[in-house]
Amino acid sequence: MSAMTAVATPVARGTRAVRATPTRYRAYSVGAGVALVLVAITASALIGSLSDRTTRVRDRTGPVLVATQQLYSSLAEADAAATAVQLSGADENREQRRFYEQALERSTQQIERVATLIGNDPAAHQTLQSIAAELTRYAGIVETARAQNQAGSAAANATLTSAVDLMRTGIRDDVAQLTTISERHLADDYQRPVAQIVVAALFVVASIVALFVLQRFMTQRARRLINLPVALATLAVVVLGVWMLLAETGQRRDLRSASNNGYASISATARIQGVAYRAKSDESLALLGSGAVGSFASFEQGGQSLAARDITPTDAQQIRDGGAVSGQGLLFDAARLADGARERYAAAEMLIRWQRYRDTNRAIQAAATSGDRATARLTATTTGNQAFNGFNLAVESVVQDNTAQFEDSLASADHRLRYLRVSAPLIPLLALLLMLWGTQMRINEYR
Amino acid sequence: MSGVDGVRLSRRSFIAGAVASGVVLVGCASSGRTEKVSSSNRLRILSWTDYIDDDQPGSPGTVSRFGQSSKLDVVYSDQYPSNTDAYSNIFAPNLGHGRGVGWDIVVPTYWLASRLVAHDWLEQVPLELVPNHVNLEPAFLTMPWDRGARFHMPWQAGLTGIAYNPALTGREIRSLADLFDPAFHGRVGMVTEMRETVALTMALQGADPSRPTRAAAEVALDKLEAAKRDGQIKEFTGNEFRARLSDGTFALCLAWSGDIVQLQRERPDIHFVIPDEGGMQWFDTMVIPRYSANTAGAAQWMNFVYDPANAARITASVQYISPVIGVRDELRKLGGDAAQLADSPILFPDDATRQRLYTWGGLPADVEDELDARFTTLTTG
Repeated sequence: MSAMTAVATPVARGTRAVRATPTRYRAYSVGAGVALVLVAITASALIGSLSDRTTRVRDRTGPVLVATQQLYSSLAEADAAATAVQLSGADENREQRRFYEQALERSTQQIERVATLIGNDPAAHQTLQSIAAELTRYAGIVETARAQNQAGSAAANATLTSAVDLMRTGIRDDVAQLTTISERHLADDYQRPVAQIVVAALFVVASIVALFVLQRFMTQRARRLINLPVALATLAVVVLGVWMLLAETGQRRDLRSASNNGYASISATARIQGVAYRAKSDESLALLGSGAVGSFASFEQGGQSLAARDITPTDAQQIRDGGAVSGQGLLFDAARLADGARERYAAAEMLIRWQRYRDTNRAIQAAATSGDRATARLTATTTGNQAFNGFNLAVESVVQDNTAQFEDSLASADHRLRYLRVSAPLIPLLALLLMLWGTQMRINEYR
Repeated sequence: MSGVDGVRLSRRSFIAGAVASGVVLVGCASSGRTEKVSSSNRLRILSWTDYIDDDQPGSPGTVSRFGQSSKLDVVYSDQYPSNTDAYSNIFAPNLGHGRGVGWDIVVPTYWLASRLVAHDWLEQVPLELVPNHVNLEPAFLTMPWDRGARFHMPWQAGLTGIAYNPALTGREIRSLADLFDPAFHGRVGMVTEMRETVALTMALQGADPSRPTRAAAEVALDKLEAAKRDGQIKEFTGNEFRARLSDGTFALCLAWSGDIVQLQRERPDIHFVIPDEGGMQWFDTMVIPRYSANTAGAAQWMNFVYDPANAARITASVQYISPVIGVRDELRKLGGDAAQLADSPILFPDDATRQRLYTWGGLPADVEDELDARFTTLTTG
């Protein structure tokens, strides 16, 4: 028995030591400490991942999409201006020629921008190469048509028509494909599963539980109400958890806002510009009498899809006042979607200026139909161009606002993570120090 | 203000020349985000000399009428210096260091406005407060440096062409080449604006001033320097060309349309033409410098002057080209001298003339600065 006691004594001593309160304090604190270190690691990884998502959207996929939409508009503008230049005859319209050159220059810059930002996507690069090659070919044909036009060659209109055909089929289809690719990239970034969220949340909960258990143990053993450092450590972890949750949901909301209010509007206005430019191009082609492509009928079709009925000053005032306005067409849709004073006023101006152009076009069509093609051409190349430019500038103003809004929303999404990048690792480490301090205070009471 | 030779100095006379106000920031929903629109009871405007209608007995001018209708205390100064001075002494030293310039609206020429936009030194115009924006001629709003025209609002425009005295030239003048014709040796004037004199010389040489290159500008400067050295060019002037034409010092010169319209009241024999090679079109434009204390008031002012009736009264006084659609009809309604202006081909150039106008396309700022320096040496040497 005594031998047994002699053997058991060190074991019992060991068991007592393990069961001794300071040792159990240490054991609990090690568990909580490990949980806090893991919180620091996973929280940092999570913030890094969230930051990476906004950085990608802000610096790559977002700008790519904006540039793609701008490319679509620029190409349409180039096309409309090229036909308007041709219509002005040998003594070409300098302003329209400037618009053409600037639109072409912008298109090239936008292609380069997309190519730089779109990353390693073979399909996208192949599409871009195709657009660039076709655009070079298009510009060459336009220049040939221009030279023929200045030389008074009868072939000029047919040459221009082939350029328009290339733009409306080959190039536009490729741009549409590029848009689809860019939109898919953006959707991937928006919906990218953030696995770290689950892991970080688990460790945050685990560390809160560990700290709570430690606190409870201390309260029972020390018969004190609370260990303040451990309580503060728990609070710090709770704050970090809530902060990360708010940042993630806020960031998601900002990205959704950028998508719904910014990109969707950019896309809608680009569509308006595309339809309008095509209609303008149709008007020029109808007057050039090219036959194969472009006619007043196709102009009417475009006009109807923009605004199915005439726009009155009352409509414009209703839009400005935020009242309901009836009417079918992209312009009316844009007016109904306008949710701020600036947007409503801009939408009203778009509609008024479109109606001015529409009225000018009616005069052009009337002259052409009555056989007075000279008057029709003169009106188209003077007041017609001016009226259309007025409409286009109103749309462009909206595009610029929407682009700024898109960029603001992305910047806001990034801004939410500004302090978290530093706080995510620091707060758990601070909590760890507090927890160790609080535990040591209790252990010291046993010395 | 009277200037040299007793001629009233106008917008182009380059006379070298802040009122603090409280700021209230009000939130204004704009495209889904919050635009800061500042507001105060004082509006401070800095513009060129003789560039607005003054108060007349029984007929308050635009500033007074706007003050009455808006209840704003309008501080209007006509002491805008030259664009170069404004950039060096007003914009760069303040906006470049994050400080306001003490004005809510300033009226630089378009090329300087483009630089201010590039520097991000301008507030966006709160277009929701300018519904009369819809009355503006699009030709002034389609500048590549401000697509969508969100940072500038045109004030007045003008043309630079050739003014001549047929009695002294002995023939009709139609070409820029006439300025370099030895037959007029020592009796030719040019204007002190690089972007017009150099640009038109470029046009004479077959270059396109709306898409300038440094090389083309340098070649034009070479020609101008040679002409000055040879004594072909008598002088480079501001609007003093009016006096030089009147007293016969100049037989022909480059000239600004508004000044010639004014001169023609006294000297209807002086002719103004847009040369066959083309003329220059320019415009001065309202901008709201960063940190303006009253962007809302600035927008109210813009809206007021874009009402065709108000715009017509300004046109009747300053006699430059208004950017506002409908001014011609309003001038006719005003009757008298104003109604006669409605038929002026200089104020309302026809489509054929418009086709022959260039607007300086701009070069990188550092290149333009170097060209400016060379041109200044030429004009002051």
